[in-house]
Amino acid sequence: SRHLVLANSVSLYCLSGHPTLPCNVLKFKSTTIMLDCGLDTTSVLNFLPLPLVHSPRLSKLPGWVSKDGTVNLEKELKECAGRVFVDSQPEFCLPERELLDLSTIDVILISNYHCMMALPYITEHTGFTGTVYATEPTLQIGRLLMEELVNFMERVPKAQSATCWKNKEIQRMLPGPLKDAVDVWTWKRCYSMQEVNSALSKVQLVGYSQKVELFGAVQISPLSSGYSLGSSNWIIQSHHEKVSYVSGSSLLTTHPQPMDQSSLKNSDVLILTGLTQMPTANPDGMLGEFCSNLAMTIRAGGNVLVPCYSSGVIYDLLECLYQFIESASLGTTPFYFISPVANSSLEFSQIFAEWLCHNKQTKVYLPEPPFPHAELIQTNKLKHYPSIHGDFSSEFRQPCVVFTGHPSLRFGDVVHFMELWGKSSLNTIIFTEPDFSYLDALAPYQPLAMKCVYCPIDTRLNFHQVSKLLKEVQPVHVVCPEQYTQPPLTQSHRSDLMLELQPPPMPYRRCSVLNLPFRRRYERVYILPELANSLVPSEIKPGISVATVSAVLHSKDNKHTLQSVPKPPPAPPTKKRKRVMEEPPVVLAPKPLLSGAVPLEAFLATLQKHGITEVKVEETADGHILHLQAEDTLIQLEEDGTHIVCDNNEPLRTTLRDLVLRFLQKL
Amino acid sequence: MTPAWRNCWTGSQGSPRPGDLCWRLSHVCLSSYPLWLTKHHPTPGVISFTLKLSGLIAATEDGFRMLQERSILDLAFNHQHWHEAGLWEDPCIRISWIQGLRSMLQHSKALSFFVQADFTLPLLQLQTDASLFVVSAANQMLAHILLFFQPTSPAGFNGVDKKHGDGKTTRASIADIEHSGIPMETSQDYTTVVTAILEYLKESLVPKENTGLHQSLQILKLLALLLAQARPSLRDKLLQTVAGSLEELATAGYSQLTLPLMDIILAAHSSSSTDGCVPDQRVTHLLSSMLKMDKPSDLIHAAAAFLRRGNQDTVHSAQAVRILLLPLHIITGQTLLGTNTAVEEHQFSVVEQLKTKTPCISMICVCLTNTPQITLTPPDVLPCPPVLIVTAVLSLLRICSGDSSSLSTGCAEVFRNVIGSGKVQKCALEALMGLSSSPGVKDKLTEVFTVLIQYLNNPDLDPTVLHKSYQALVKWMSVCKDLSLITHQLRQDLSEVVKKRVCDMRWEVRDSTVEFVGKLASVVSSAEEPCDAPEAFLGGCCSTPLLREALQDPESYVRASAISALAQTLAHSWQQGAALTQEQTDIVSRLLEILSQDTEGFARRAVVQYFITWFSSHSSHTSPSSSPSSSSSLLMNSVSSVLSLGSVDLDWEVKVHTLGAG
Repeated sequence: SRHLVLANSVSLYCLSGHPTLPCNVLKFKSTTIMLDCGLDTTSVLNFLPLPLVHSPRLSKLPGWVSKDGTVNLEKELKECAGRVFVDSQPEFCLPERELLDLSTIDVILISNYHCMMALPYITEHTGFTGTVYATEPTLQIGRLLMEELVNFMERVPKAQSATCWKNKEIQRMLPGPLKDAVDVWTWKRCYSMQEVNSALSKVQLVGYSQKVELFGAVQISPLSSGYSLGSSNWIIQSHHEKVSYVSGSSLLTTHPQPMDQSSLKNSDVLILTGLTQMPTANPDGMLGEFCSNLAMTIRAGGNVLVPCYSSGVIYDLLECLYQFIESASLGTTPFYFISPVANSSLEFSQIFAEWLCHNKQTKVYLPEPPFPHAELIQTNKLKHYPSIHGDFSSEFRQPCVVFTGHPSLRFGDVVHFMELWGKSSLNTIIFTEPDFSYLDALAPYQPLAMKCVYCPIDTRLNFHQVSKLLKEVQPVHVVCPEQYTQPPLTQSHRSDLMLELQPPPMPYRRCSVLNLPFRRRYERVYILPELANSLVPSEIKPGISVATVSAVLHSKDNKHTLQSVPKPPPAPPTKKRKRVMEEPPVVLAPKPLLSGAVPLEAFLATLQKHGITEVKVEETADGHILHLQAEDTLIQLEEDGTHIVCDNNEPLRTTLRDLVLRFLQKL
Repeated sequence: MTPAWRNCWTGSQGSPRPGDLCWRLSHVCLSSYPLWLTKHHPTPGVISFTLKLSGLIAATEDGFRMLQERSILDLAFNHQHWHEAGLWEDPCIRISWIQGLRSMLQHSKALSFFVQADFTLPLLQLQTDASLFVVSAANQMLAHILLFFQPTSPAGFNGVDKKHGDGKTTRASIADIEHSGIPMETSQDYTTVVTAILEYLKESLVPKENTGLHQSLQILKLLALLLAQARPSLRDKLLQTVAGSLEELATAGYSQLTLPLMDIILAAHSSSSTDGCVPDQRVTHLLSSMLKMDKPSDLIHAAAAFLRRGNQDTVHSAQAVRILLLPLHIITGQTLLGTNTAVEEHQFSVVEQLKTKTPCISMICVCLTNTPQITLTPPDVLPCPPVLIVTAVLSLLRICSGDSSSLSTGCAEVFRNVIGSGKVQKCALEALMGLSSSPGVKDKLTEVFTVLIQYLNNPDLDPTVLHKSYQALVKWMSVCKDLSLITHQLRQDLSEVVKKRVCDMRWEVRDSTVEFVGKLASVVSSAEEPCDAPEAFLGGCCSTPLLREALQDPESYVRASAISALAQTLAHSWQQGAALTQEQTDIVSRLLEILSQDTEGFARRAVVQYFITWFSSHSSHTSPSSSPSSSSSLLMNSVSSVLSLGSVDLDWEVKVHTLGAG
């Protein structure tokens, strides 16, 4: 194979500004690849909670009327503890859909189950016809999370859909934070289960390090990222360019397979997203806080509420508690896990053996299951229920610990427990998910007597780890959300909480379009054996041979092949006499290519031999100018060209040309 | 080698008697010794032994004479011979050669032998030997020669510059008494040796290149040995010889040599001042050069070394204090050195150095370690009141835990090096403990409490840092006495965090916490206005139930600490002879259960100690007419169980404590 120098551009369209819920589109080598499709659910914090059981408190909240009385949105907006909430089914902030035509997307690569929640919005009703690539645990657990979300919403249907408040003129007059919410018109209600199924049917499963060819142009391959079951980073490469996409990754020893760092080496561009949202909170310390606060509450006779997702950190929390229960004498305290998908989540985690860390993988060959929560279930210490209705209500004992969703406290069974336990200072709510501000989450429940503890556990890479990683893998360029290029707003002195790289990272924000810089611009071209056989290489430097090729370039499926020039069709047999006349034009051999340099001294000596003695040599920036004074002729000898300026003396010009040619090699 | 054995050879218990068995044996052995040594190719181990043995025998003049008569000494200590035989390569030969000579050099004849045999040069060469043990022995030997034979009066030392200390021989060592009458030839030999050694010191002290640092280091160690024990005349001579070289070293800035160099200068400085003289001008000058070094880390180490000596030199003390406070001043932004520090000559280089992590942490730690000492220097030396230093240490503690509110004034580029550094945190907490007794800092109690409670609440801290935080709390409370300064809110916060930490996942933290609860009880009961119990102090946090809970802890250390803490908590009520409560009865039965059933010795030992404490406090306060339901009857009932259980315990410590109590 040989290389062809091509100019190509690689662009990145950034459809989400959320650094940990990314959605970017990479246009690379005539393919359009979407990297993750994260759904920003923080918008739901502007909505009133959806209570599972009728809540007199929430139903009696006063409606909002502007101070001067000119705007009356009593039906849509409710006031609670000094803040205004939208009384409607919660809506999500979708990835940007106007920046490029989503139907042109060829493939979507999913990194982990948290970063695929917007998938139905992208693949359905947009004309999308491509393929989604994800690992099996990502697909299965992602499906559970979507199912849970749909279930939470559909369980509590809201007749009305509030839209008046979105009117720009009205929104301007609303109190914060509603006033400052951006792009509210693009917010959408939750998708349906049918849409989820349709979206997930487009997923094609891949395994770690499996290489998938896309249209012959690029190869994609997922790598273990160590963050969650089946979580991956992606390598997108052609023969000469390599883009690494790093999404939520972790170097901590938790349940998933450890992160594959070495495969990220030699990247031209590394797109870095999904760093920890809590750079100052060390997960180990937070886990410790979680346990001690939990034990403290239970000892004092209170209940503990843990709002969490039904998959992910909960596995580690349960494992940690499994060890802690004994030492804290919590053996008799019941632990409840309530979620429409609780059972599947707990069971799924046990069957994805190949996706687990080494320690857990080895347990697969033993009688005991990889995760100790199985033992907690067997011994009746951990009980799981699809909802608070049904069996749970009859078996519920206090004091207890309840794990349930949704961490935003706007929908799901957690809403019920907030109403139930919020009034007692004996109870504690412990936030472990880092996605939502706990103060905002608690806003519609104020005034609250319950104790609140914030222990966000985010195992993703922190700035220290990522700078070590980048030093190790040494990408040429790094692209990252702009948030990573400056210290957090509230901690402007913490220069350790940002990326400091050389060259500086290329920042992006929502709606940015970046042209990614590439060092090399080559394309691989194959030569057919018969054509290769016909080549006559000549060595121009030791080890470097050159040959001229006349061929037809054939490009198909982004593969380029040089084929021999087809022979002209044989002329139809005619009379011999005529043949001479009608012989088709011969395909002329190309003129020989010249290479080498003309050595000045030797050339002057040769000129002298040919009787040209009066030569004035002038040095220029690129070489020399020889002035043949007697002949009134100029010879410019430059690095990449030789010019003979000789008016009206063709024999002299030819002589000079031949003298120059003596010093050059011909191909 | 046992002393008896040695005496047998050297006859130091009296003159050797011809009839003595050892003496005769040695005669027999030694007569065949030369032949044996030359013909029988002994192993290095045997030669090494004979060298040491010869040295020991020659330690007395008689022994020496005897060996000399048989030319044994010339033969044994002829290093050329061992060179030629290829045995000198063996370090055990070299070290025995030194040790043999060292043992021998107890009298003037030996010194003459040493000088005549020209051993000074090979000995000096061994000072840079490849073996550290040989080097150390050579150093000891050189020091021994110079110190042991040094004349008692300055007159005995030829050509000594008598500028200081004329006739003022104040400190007479045993060596002085034994060797007061040094004969003339000894004096000459001594002068020869001293001249050769001093010449060598002068020549070799300054390294020719970086590789010579090892030699310089050894010479500095030798000088330190010498200066610490030299009499004024020798000291003067030494200083006169090496002052120039020391000056050169001080300005050359070899980091490795800073501390040994400082040791020498300080030894010279203090020995000259204790002689009642004005410190030598040269030494003072050297000291000033050391406190002006360019490299900040060396400078700080030099300043710390100076301050640790507790020198009375006000000018240099003030300088050292400013140097040591500079890093703290820069990081915390507290104006420890006044508002205008632009004049501070080292400011720029120190800031630059603090931007690199390793030197930053090391410098800060040196600085912190010395803060308590700094506050004890006279007020005219201190650039700021001690209370400001406490404020700075508190700021540093806040910075270390990433508290951004305190980050506005200091140097942001340095913050990243100390944020989360356990080493700095521990050093700062230790400094804070030390500062608790500094003058005029009591007003800081509230702030200290606030920061320490923040530390106890911080989930990311190492258990050792938390432990130190608890210790610091106890220390400040015990020093300040007046606990009314601690607000209700702070007590509440402390109580909350104690309740949380006693449930911590890490047993070390639970252990430190229960230990703290116990100490808190002792401190509170000995305070100026003692509360009834630590419960009252902790604002409703019931310490006894916490400790009772901790008796169930799966970790035996925690159980043991909880038992000790319970004893400290209840000591107050025992002393008051308070009425028996159900709680106490429950505790006693639980403790007896631990003593009989606990698998770990720590907990059982603690139980025995608990009853010993109770018993001793009870016996001094008991009233004869105690009712059967009082605590004394419970004690008496339990003591017999404790004695019977403890005396059959398999753990010897439990048994010893029990028997002791019995």
